[in-house]
Amino acid sequence: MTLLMILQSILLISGALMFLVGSIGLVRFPDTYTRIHALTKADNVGLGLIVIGLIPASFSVLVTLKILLIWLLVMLASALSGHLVAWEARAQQVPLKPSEGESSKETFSKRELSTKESSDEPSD
Amino acid sequence: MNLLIDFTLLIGILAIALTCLISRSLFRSVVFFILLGLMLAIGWIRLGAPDIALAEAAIGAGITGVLLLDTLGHLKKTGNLENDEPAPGRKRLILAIVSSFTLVGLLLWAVFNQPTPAINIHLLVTEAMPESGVSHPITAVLLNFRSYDTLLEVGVLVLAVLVGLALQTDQQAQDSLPGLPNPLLHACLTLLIPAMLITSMYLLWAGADRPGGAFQAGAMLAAAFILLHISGIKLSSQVSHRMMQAGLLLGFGVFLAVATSSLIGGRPLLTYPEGGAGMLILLIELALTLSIGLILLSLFTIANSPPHHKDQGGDHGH
Repeated sequence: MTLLMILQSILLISGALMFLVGSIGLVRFPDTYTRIHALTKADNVGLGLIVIGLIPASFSVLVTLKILLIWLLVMLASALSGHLVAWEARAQQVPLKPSEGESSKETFSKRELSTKESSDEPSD
Repeated sequence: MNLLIDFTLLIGILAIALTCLISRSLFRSVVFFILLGLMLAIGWIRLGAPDIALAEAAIGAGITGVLLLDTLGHLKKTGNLENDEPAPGRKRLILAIVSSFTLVGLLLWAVFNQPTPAINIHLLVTEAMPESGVSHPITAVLLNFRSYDTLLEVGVLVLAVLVGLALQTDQQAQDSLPGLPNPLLHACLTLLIPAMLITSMYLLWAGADRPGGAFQAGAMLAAAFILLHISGIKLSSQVSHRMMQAGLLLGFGVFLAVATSSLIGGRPLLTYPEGGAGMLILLIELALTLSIGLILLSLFTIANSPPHHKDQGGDHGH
């Protein structure tokens, strides 16, 4: 067991743990928006850790570039799909789950106000 | 350790298949069906069959999954979705369990009582490889040694899409999907579509000496087309109807032309001339890739007939 292998196993296991945390978040979080948050972030980090852990397995430039490209594409795809799900959820007015002391209506309108102020996307 | 992975995979596949079948919610069934396709792909890789894994992931999980999800959305929009179907009766359940166990038993018996093959096919393929024109055995079998099967397979695909087109009425011809007016999606498309096209061509090219080939490349092409279609960029409005029809038939036509042209030279059907096999296989695969991409797209767009109720999509106000 070399030092490199120990480092690799740490990276791979922590990557898998990240996936686990993301999945637990997906099951446990109360509404669509927080679930997206858990899934996309944890999975991107998890995949990144696994990719970094896999690079020393081959030490070939071509393979390294390929798996880095896979990571990049997955990040792009998950950012896009996360955005699309949230966007569609807002279009269908999926309510936010109320936190303690607030009603769901209030939370939603508050969030809507703040996004309206900060949003700079052109309306089409 | 490897055995542990294989058993986990096996139990996972069985559990997912069962969940897919007994789930009461159709949406959940579809999601589990896609998951099943991905797990099966991993299973094929563990069995050392990356070609089938690629096809399973691309067509079995990807394209079929999108088709099923789209159908589900369509059913929901038209209000034809019945969620509370009654549970199957006790008699039917027992019958199903008995018959499935009988089938499993028969299959197991067949596996353990395999007759020893009279000729060693594996060895035959290896011996004939230099004459096949390609260096990947799977491609050699699919497009040279057993090209008859592949020709008929493509024929079946063309037939399926022809039936679909015949069922389509004029009123259904217009696309009903409004497309998603999302700026981020369209920005990402400019990155994703070229990458998908390059990957498709790479899969086609790699098929000569590595896992890959026309079916996988065609599925990738179809995925790019469908992504464009969902985003509101209609391929059918960019090219004429006649061009689309020609594209659907191109692969089968080229394949058939090459297959029968050998008859003119006095050689049997579906043989390649000496030395020209590699070139002809590439030509057939190129035409097949385009046609398979278009056929899978057509199967998807045919399903998108407008709902009977008023269309409720497209009200994404900002």
